[in-house]
Amino acid sequence: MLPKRILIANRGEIASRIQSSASRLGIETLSVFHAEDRNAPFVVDANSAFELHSTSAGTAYLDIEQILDIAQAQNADAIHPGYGFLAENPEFARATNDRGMRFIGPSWQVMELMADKLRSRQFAKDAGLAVAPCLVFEGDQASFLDAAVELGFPLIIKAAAGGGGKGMRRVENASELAEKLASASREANRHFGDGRIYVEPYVEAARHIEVQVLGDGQGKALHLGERDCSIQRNYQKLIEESPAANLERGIRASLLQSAVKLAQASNYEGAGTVEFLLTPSGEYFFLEMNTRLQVEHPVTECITGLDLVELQIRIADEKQLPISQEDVRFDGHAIEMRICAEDPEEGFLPSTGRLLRQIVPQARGIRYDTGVCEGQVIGSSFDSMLAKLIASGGNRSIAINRAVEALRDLTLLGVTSNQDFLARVVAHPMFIDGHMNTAFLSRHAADLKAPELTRGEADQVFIAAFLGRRDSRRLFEMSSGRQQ
Amino acid sequence: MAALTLNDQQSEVRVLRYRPRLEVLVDGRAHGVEPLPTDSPTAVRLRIDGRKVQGWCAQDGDMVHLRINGRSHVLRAQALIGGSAPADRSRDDVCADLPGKLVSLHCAKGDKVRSGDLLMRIESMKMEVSLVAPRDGVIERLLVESGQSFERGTPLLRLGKPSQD
Repeated sequence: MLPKRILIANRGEIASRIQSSASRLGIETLSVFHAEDRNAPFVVDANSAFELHSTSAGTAYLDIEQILDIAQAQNADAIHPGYGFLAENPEFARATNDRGMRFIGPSWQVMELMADKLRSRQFAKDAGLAVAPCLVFEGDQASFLDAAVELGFPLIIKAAAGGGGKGMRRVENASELAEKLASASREANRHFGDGRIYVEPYVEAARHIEVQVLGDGQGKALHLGERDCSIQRNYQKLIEESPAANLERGIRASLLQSAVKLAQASNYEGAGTVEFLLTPSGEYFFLEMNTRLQVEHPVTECITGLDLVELQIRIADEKQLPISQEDVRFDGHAIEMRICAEDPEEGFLPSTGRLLRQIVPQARGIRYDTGVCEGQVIGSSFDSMLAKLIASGGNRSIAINRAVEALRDLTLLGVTSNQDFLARVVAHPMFIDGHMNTAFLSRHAADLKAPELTRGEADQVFIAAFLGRRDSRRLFEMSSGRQQ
Repeated sequence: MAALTLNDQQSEVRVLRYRPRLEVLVDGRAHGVEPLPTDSPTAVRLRIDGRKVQGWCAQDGDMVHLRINGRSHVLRAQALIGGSAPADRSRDDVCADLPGKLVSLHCAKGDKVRSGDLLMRIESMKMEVSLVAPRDGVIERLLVESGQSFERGTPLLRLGKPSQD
């Protein structure tokens, strides 16, 4: 039987996203929130909402005891963790089960395995997947430095408990290694409570391809295709699409097969994502498995017509796959653009402010998953992502055209966002031709800068701002002669 | 009349005449403006020198947020009644470009620093970013402590002129 009441242990757009599937299935939703989020849509729209009390906004959504106390007191029968926060915390899954509630996700044992990037690499290797060479930092700096030099620069530092680009550093040469190890370890410790780090050779201009899988928890698994997530800044994804453009048929088949193999070998339950790095020479390596719904899951939904949140809830309930591989059909192309409160002209620094207007284009093939509403204050306590714009169509070029139009028509006022930057990326000839890689944004930085306004354009801006101000409104009436 | 600042460029904008048609002066340059009907108080629909300009506008204090013809702009507006000059921003304080928390300090009072030197690491929105010296100089005073949170625009340290030796 499907759960009657789900507590969503998350915030923002993903909490709203889970609510919409749950309510379609006739399931009640409970939200938990920090006071800073009081006016956010996921709080206002929830069937019921409970405030989390904590010393800081950031820790509220990490408070396992408080969240589960609320869930239990309100008779929730399942917890959906969303992504980020506690979504990949095995302790949270275990504590949820211990209190007699269902955790919508894989078993805590699989989460524990995959959360440890070092253990999961070994597991993937044993399951027959290709894994990149790596070096684990265990405190002895001298011997580590020697081994790192042997591995060859540039290197990339990663956190063993990592994710979301936290604790990642690119290292160009031996002289900066020590400082970057320390700073990465500090950041990793702050985010994950685990300062263990390792290094891998940094592959320039690689592609980041991931595969969406579903497992039944008993060794059966299937895939829902791949996603290209190569357009990144600060090691965080910015644009994702499915299917991946210009991906050789043989490589695609083998990536999909590897991902399914890993999900089967780990008795994976629910929705998960297996991430791979594809080198320019066509080699690929397993990077990690994310044991949760991904931010970019909508592109998969758009081309398969499936609802991943519904599938997660059903698998958690039935302990079997509601569909078979043969049922999965891929139709068309979808691109997701992450709309973030950040300034691409200032090194993608986060921006804050009050969202004054949010006008969403209503057009064919456009989906807009937002976490914010007009009047809401965007602060610095949380991740900078405001919303996701997903454009889809019969083929990639239709999807791109729709993306360009929707980014032009989308209006967010009050907070500096990256929307115009995203529009320049998807309209870039190299993007249109499908030449994506993780170095895309830095390589084409000059082309992607906001063009200087001409004198005439600047004057238009000044006039529109001057006349658009509240106290200038009467000018319209005066000049249109209505008062004559 | 208003002074509007866009990307550090200030322009003076005022209405030259309302009839027979609206004309607006930007730093003395005259533009013919035809307001087009709208059904929203925040919509911008104009024809400027014959070209259609449309989008949305919202004001928050003295900041004007505008999106026209598929591009966003933020302007600072000042009514010129009384003619106040913009606040003096040429002091030696190095200010926070973003709200955040000081994670680690990489300089001390009295240090000579060169332009581009790492001064502090700041955490904002879960990211660590570096604050570097905007020019050569000597650290005169540190104005925040490790772990301290601050808003955008908060002075973080005072950078004196480079010594002559």
